[in-house]
Amino acid sequence: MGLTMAEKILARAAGRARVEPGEIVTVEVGKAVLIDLSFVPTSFLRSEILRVKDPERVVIVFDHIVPARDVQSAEALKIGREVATRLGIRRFHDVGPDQGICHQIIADYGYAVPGTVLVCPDSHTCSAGAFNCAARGVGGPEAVYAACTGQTWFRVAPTIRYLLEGAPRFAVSAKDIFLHIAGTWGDHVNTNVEFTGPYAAAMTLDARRTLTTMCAEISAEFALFEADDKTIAHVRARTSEAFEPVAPDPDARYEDVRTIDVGAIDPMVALPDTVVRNTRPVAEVGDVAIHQAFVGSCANGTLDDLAMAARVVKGRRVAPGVRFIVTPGSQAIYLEALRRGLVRTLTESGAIVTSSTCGACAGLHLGALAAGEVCVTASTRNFKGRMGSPDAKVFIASPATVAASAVRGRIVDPRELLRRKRPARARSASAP
Amino acid sequence: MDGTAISPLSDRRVLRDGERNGLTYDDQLRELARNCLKTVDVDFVRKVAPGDIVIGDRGFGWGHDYEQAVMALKGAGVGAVVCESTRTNFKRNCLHHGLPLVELPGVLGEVKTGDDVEIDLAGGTLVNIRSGAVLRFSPYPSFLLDIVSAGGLYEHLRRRFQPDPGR
Repeated sequence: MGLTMAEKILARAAGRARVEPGEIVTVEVGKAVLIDLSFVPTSFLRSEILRVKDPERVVIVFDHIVPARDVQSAEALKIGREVATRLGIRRFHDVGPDQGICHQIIADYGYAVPGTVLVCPDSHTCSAGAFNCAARGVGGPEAVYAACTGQTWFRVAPTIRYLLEGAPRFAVSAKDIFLHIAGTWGDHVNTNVEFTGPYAAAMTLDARRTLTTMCAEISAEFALFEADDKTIAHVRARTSEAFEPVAPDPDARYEDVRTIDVGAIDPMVALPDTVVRNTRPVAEVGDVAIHQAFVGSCANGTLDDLAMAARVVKGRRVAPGVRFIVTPGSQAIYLEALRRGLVRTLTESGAIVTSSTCGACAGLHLGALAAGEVCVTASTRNFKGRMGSPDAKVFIASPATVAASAVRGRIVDPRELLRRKRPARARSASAP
Repeated sequence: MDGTAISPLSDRRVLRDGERNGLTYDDQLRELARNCLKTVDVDFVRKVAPGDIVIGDRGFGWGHDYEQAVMALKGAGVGAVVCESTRTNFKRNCLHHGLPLVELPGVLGEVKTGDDVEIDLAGGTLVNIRSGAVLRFSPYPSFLLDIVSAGGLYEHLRRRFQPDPGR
């Protein structure tokens, strides 16, 4: 019996020929990524970071509470800086030009190495699975433990395989495909997910990462793509580490194999409180007026996402009474968006472009919602209280749908705006 | 049962403000234990004896990943959790706080309140002394046994890096 991608990576990291679903295995960690929250005072392990197994396999990214939102955060960041210096951690992404949201940084700096294991205390760590890397969020102290010892453990899970076929309709993105999956099949607790098929191969690395990042919302263990030429070229250009990607065996055992015709998916929206079995095509959402719109986070802060938002709002105004917040996934993306005029287009439309942080997505230190307010967001999650008040309503959609909704002041199909104004460009942009 | 049914949301402040208010880890455990599993039995904390085992349902401890529910159980003196199934994050949190957790489908049908049971983590067996039933699960690797027997990740790391006992 063959092995799935997750089984192969875990077997390799455990130094074994094979592993079986249900087993608990001890594995070598390729990269342990710590974040600013690893150093907040409530994390009682912080003072115990006495040494790390290998400073080259540890990364520190400041993203959740930067720039420091209060004195407690400032103290945590100070401890983080001291730890980075004391332990000789070169891969340290402090406030400045190489800072960003950790999963964007993990992708952009080639820390997600195909065929290896990566852990980080953020829930959306499965993001790095887009690079054929078995990555998962673990507890804060566990990530510190992995940094110190170079090891962690996993329970091997069964795998569900998705075959993505066809080509998406105009203005339909990876986010819509994810919302279709979450709405159709619900959660994937204690299960790995593999994305394969012709459309998986056609997707950009950024789009793949949107899909893997969102798999945290359906409680998947690992969410993995195969490594193709695109993946290998991207990682080779960013790391000197040797690596060997894994592919699923033809006779691998799956819990289920599901085929999706992505060409049959319309722009999708998740209704408030969860994405699990709670999504529908935007046309069926009804008339929903909004107070806030957001594009950003580890799932939708890429240059493509910003470009799509800018394209939708170009020459238009954000509706009166709506705050449209845009957060690039990293400062490097911010800079590139600036060079391409996207920041200007967005700002002229009435949007505000913030520095790169998890702030608005997690209701931490900017863009929080008041009771009774409604937000449509191209970010990661919408459980009660995620973006501020537990009495706010948060709908999730793609960057195109969010930007169009910001202009209209209510949740709308982005094809309404994009088609009406510039049909010629709209058609040419429908190629994958 | 979700995490907030084990330890109520209103107790979040214990973790959030604990260290700022000068509470040690053990203080936090004691504080959280007071309301542990009150949703099931208001007298749970009074009735539970050190080393008692909690038997849980499907998806025991599910919900947003936070450590409070685990610390409440540990603070109450619970020695292990055996459940039909759980979420990975809850399981990881249990183990890194030194509270053994075993997923054992069918356990609710085999164990009743008051039974004496013996769990062998290394051997992967649970024996119900009353009925003689033996249930099997995937054994813990030595790496995890070390963490659990040390009392959690914190103690395990501290011993590894500071062989001299005491802080």
